[in-house]
Amino acid sequence: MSDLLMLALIVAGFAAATVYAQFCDGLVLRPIGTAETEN
Amino acid sequence: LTVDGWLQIALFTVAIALSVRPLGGYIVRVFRGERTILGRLFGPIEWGIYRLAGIDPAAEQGWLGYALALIAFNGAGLGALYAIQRLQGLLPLDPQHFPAVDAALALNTAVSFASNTSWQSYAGETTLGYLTQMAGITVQSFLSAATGIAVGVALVRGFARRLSPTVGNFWVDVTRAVLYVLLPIAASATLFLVWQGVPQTLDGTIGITTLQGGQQLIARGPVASQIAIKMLSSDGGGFFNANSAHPFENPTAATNLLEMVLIFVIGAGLTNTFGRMIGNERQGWALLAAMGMLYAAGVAGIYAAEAQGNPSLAALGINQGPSALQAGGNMEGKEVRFGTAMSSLFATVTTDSSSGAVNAMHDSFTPLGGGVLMANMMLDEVIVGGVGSGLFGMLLFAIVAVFVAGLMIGRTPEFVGKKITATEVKMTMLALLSVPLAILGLSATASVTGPGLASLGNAGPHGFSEILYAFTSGTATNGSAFAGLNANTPFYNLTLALAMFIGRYFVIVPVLAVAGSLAAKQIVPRSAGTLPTSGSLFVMFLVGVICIVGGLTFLPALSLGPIAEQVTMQAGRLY
Repeated sequence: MSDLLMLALIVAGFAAATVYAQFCDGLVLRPIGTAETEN
Repeated sequence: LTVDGWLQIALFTVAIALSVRPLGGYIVRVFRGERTILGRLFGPIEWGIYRLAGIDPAAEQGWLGYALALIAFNGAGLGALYAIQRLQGLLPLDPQHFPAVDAALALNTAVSFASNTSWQSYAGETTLGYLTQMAGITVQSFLSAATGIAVGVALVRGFARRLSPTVGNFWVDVTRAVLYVLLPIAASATLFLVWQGVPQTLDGTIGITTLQGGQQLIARGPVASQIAIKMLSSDGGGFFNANSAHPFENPTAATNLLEMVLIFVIGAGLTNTFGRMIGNERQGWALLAAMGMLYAAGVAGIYAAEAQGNPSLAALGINQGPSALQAGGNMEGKEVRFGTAMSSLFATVTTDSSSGAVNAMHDSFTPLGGGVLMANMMLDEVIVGGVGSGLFGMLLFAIVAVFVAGLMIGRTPEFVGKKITATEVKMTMLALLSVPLAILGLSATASVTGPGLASLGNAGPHGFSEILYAFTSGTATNGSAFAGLNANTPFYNLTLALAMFIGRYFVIVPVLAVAGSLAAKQIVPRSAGTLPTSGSLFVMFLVGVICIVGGLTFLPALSLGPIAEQVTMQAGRLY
């Protein structure tokens, strides 16, 4: 297998991790007006 | 089971218990930036690194900035390790003149060491030159461990801080972890290993004439420096293929004990760091107690299974009992000098943590013993675990435990003064579910495809165990292997690289998100309705949650592998 393919896989992996972090950030920052109820 | 064996296990356990408070307290001072005894030596180096890299140590990052810095840093390290392997034939310090490592194998190895897994589809002494071992493998052992510690400390800050938009500075945390925690301990351990007979040389392989008159090549190299950090980092990647079963990696009883202590010492100490940083040292002991219960159950289970021996050999009238001349029990694949007890303890320690170093061949353990090894890894690295990753893994389960307890008593869950809300639970679920998704999904894929089945060394349930063990080990960033599987194929190199990547980065990202979410919250004062989380009741509840989640997720797969094999072995059928 070629180096180009392996490097593409490495870049794709870390790009996916970056997108995943942004996705998680979207979940952390809840939309305004959705305050959670507490007992 | 012998008294000697239990005493050796007790000696190790006491050594770890005694190290927890001093090391935990020291790590707190390191990450608070306080003066330490090593400040005079490493302080100028630390500040030199910041100046050289343009880092402002006072500038903290939010969780996303922290995570993106980590991803970039690990990506660069992974790329560098890949490049070193592929350019090996052109690089110096390679007395055996090894050629470039195959591309798929180089990718697997680069992901493996950047992710603190150290799965090795290669034999070090016949594949890697000294520069690759030192500048590639050893450097990543330091950096991946420092990454784990940094994430663990960032999560602890999330619990400890109130209304904070930041969780720390990744570059500062990694630098301090390497300079003040990993380097001094690894350097001291290296000197001890050299004293005990572990080689540390740049000279090449030597040829000898054996007693029978044959010629044999004896591999050596800069072994001691790599073995020290291999153990301390809970990385576990050996210089030699036989890992810590090789007398040049683990020559004496003293090195065997030291290597096991090195595997656990930081992970155990970090529980105390957690307790001190949140201002409740008892809470740290509670986490360690939960880890200790699971550790004790594991070592007792494996030792009992291995000491019992193989019923098929007993049926042939072979004496497997302990005596002055033999350790007794199932000695297939074990070093005579370590015996059943120290092999069982080492195997427990290495699978409780994310180490993966071995002093015996796990493929040759009894099915029950091998099943416990897999179960240890399937519990998501929470039994002391990897450096940093063990702490954050246990804290994730603590969040699940207080969430479940909150549902049972009808109150918003709290843990160490922070209300656990939907955000933390979602992130925790993402982190905890990514592990079984990779283990079970990839094991199922390998079990029904030609390339997956072609690598098996055994048929039946043992063959399935080989596959399940490989993906469990990879995803749990452990790195140990059931050696019957030939993993150096394009299929396994790429799928295991995927497993290791998911098991590391798709867990770390949501963990940091939890840290960021918690840090931004107020600390609520204790009230009469607060669930106590530092007492024995919560410890038992936490252990129960870990076992139930692990059992519900993995028991069906374990039934098809080690459990089925144990039952058929009792009936006299072997695979």
